[in-house]
Amino acid sequence: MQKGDWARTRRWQITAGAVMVLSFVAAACTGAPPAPSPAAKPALHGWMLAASSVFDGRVSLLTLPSGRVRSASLPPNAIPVAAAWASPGSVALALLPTGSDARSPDRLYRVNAGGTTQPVGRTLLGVRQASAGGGLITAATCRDVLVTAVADPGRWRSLGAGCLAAPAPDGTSVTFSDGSTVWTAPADGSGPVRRLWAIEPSTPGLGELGRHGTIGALAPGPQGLAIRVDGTGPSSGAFAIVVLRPDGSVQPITAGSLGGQSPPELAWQPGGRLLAFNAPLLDGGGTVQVADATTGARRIVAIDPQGFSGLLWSPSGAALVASGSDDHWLFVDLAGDWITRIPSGGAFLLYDWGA
Amino acid sequence: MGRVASRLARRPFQLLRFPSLLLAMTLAAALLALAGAAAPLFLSSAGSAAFASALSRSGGTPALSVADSGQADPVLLAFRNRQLDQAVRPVGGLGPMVLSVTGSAVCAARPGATCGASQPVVRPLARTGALSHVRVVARGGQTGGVWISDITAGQTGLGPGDSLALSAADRSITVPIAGVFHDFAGEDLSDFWAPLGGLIRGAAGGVDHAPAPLVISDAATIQRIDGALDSSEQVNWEYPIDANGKTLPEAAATSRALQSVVAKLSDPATQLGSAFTNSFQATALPAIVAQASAAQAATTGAVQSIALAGQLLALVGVGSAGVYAARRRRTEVSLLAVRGVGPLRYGLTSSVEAVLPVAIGSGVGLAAAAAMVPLFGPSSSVAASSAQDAATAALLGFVVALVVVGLVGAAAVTREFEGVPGRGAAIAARTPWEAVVLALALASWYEIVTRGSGLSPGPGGEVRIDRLMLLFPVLFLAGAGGLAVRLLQRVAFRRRARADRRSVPAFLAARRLGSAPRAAAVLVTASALSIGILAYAGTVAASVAGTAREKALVQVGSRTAVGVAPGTAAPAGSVAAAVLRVIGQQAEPAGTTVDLLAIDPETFARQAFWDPRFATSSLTSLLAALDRSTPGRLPVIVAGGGVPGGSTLSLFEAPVPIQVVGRAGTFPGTRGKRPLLIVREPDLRAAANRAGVSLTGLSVRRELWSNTDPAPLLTELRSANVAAGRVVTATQVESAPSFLALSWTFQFLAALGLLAGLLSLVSLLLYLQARQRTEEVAYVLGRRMGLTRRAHRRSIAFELSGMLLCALAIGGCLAGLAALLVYRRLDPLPALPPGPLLRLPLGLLAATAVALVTAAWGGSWLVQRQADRTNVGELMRLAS
Repeated sequence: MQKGDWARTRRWQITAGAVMVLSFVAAACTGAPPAPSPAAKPALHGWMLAASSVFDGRVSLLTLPSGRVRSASLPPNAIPVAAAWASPGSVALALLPTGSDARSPDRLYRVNAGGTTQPVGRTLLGVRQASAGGGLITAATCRDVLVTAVADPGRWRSLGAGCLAAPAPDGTSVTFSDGSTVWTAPADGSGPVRRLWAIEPSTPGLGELGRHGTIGALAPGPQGLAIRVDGTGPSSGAFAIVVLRPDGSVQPITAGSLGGQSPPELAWQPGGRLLAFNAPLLDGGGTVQVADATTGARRIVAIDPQGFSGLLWSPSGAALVASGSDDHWLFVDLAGDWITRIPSGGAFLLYDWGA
Repeated sequence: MGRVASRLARRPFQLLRFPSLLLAMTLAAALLALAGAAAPLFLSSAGSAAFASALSRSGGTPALSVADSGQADPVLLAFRNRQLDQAVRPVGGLGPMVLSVTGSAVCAARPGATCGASQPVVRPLARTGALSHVRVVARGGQTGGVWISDITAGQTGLGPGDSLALSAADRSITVPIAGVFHDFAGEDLSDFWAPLGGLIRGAAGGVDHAPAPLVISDAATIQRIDGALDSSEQVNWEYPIDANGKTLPEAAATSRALQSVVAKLSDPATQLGSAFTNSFQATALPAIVAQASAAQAATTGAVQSIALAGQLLALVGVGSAGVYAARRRRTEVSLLAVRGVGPLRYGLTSSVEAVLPVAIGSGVGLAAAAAMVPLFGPSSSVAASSAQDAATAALLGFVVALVVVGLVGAAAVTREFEGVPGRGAAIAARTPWEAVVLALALASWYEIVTRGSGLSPGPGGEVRIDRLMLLFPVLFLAGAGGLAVRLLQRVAFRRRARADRRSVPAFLAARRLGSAPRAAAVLVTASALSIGILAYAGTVAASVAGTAREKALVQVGSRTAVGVAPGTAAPAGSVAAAVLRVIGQQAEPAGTTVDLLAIDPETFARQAFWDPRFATSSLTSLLAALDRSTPGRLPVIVAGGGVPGGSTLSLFEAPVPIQVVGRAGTFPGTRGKRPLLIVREPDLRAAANRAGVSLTGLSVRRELWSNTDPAPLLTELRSANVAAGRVVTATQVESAPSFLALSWTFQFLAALGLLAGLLSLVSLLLYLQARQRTEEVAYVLGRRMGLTRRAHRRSIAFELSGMLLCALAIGGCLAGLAALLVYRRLDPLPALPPGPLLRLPLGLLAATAVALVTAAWGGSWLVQRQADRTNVGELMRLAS
């Protein structure tokens, strides 16, 4: 073979190689777009305090993020009216009835995570409603609104008269109501009782409830006072939620019909401006919703076919927990994504989530 | 070592000295790779097409649909939208969510007017992108508000800028009118609107009652309207499938992912399911994918068989090229044999020498398959996995081709060692192999005949073809073609003495053919087989397509059939004929179940499909016979038989004596094997009145038949304010999977025929290569005796075209005979009349003839060019 032939041969070799390589590479080439990475979910930390409505004499202590649930024994037949962590994860305070009769007096107990309970302070008669928050526990008997500090439990102080009371998240004041008017008073009793608001027919967002409504729940928060008004008489079964802003204006949040379900609970985002509540759906089931107190804009973050009972914010304010159907605690973020779902063992009453 | 390596490196380029051989081997290797690689690509393409067809037949059914009804709550709707979109987004292959919010039917009137029975009823609707899918009649300047249909605008006298009062019970709301759109309820619904067909056209496809015209707006406005009127609403979430270029594996992956989404939607213990408790969800995709998979599976066996046959044919081509290479280099082979080069070493050397052409051929074949299947296959979408399979097949073909070339080379050296062929080899050479192949073909045909049918129904309604239906024609064409050529060889090729001496080209062509009858016979046989396969595939494909078209037209009755309410008549001067179907009646005393087709003879003949094969008399004569009536008897034409002359029709269990005035084997509108009785509609109504029965109920259907596309008829119906129901066209029916799988199979067989036709070109090249030395010597000597270049070139052209046209005649005739023998077994839907048709692909045969003559003239030009470049001195030295 001559030199020229060999050069031509080289060209043939390159051409043939290129044709083969290109053909096989083109045939083998496949490509699939990478799967989108899921958005990060908020981390869950702290200890949660819950109980069952069955008279089993226990409170459930959930440790997060492990999801471990422990039980602490209570006196027999006791279901906490209100409870809060005195020392998160180890000691809680619970206002407990001292008997199985609805009219039996209530008493505050110190509940150790190890399982022992110890009564604190005097018994209270005729407690209609109790609440905890901001380092305070309040109890309303309609004749009295009583308050005690978690740090110094058992020394009950009367602030006024009301059937409904709620401590402010900073623990400086207590807001209470007789059903139609709302007052506020310093928690330490250092100042006078001040009238905040009253139901009026012209109140925005109340509609008929302005004439046939009673205040069913109060939730003082940094953005104002959240008020749930329950319908009475011809408006029975209806409810409305409004926020009384610090400037005295009223921001309607939502209104609807209970449809036979429990009325919504109200909870302010710790340090934030969102109000969370669990509202029933007209066609059955219920939702957890959050609303912006400044704009009134709301969105659903969870739905349960049987509705939610109990509602708590995480200490960071990035997540919510609610007791849903099938005896589960559902933890969701503010975008409506499930973080986790943990069996509750029937402990659907939620009291406190401390960190 | 270096010298050995250098020699080894140059070996693959030895064949460069023989361009024709190189080209033939490259071409054969390309065809081998093409046949192997085309099968997976074609099957993938068929799968994509089957999916596209099944999807289009589903009539715009969304891939996923979720429906819920209840309260109008924008917050709840936003939550659900987000949850569903979040779950479906990773699925891929779907279009964006289409959300519909439909309110209850409400009264529409001018503000202040009382809502009464005279006021129109409308249905508020929001649907994502709705205004992009309507024809705007008038548009106002303002944004927001509602869009009303031109029907509502006409009824209320309102237009853009006006206000519309909507009311239900004692509640009402006034909304501004933003525009007017053209009402499309009576038209053929586009895929966008098809999922809401029941809503738009009313119950039972609009046949039973006219639906409420739509009032279109955005979801918030519709919810505001529903909230104000305290009416419940229905919410539909739909995800259309993005069918653009989707392959079947991609669709299957989407289907699996959607099934997972549906499972979550059904489970309230999941995030998605908790948001959609009590909703209804469905995905149509698994059924569509299953249908497409079944159609693809129906073609798989047949296509793989055809591909294997093609690969075997191509391997024969590769082997032949190896044989011709050894013959062309006979001196070199003899020299090597003398020098002690054994068969194994020479075979190995032959393989190495063939690496370059086989590699290039394999690459080109693979690339050609990858380019041609999307271009000419059932669909342009081919799955990536099938491309890998194709590459593997081409690689395997590359290896096998090298092995075959090596074996052929080894055999050539062995023959040189042995010198004279042994007795066994001589006997084998004399044995008429064609007879053996023909016997196998007859055995295949016998098997086909005794089995009863060449087609069998698959589980998904698809048709699976018996592989013998594909094996038989190949064997038959090879065997009978070989025998025919053997006969031709004895009769024609050796009669060189009688050749026409007046024409120099003809004389020379006849002399050359006579001098090399075996080579000519091989070329003609190979070409006849190739052309025969092509013609057979073309014939069967044309016959199946013709049969499918005719069955579809008979089933529909005409090109288009539109269902309308039973009391509806065709509009005056319509492009349609009205027929009334009464199904499931009895003909006594035989108890035969029959269908009735009541027609208007005046309009029917113009619109119905008719083939003279259906009856011995013309359609006009048959219809005219309906005027002949005996008092008290209903004159009928019986199509399909089974109803004796003196029968009595049990019309809704009331006896109606009939008089058979004509018979037809098949009649337009026949759907299945049940006999069809054709009557004049006034006669049927009169008979029904006499019998005291009413022509109403689910078994009575009114259809309008039109020998046009649906559009003119639908426009006409809309103008006449007639609600159109289901629209069926013959084109839709003939695209059923049962027809598609069959037509694809024969499309692939036709491709094999084309491939085989290219192998004829290989044969032609090898024939010319083998004859080159002799031709050149003869040409040189002839030139010295006064032979002109033109005469020589024409003689070559005559020689080649004569052989190829002989091959065309033999292949074409045998293919026609093979198709004639089996076409009755190729009825994809034997339950539907009429029977299979035989259609000859005359255009294909004419094109093949032109291609062959062109190839012959091209070959002659090549030979002439080569001969003109011949070094006479060297040629004569080598020849001596």
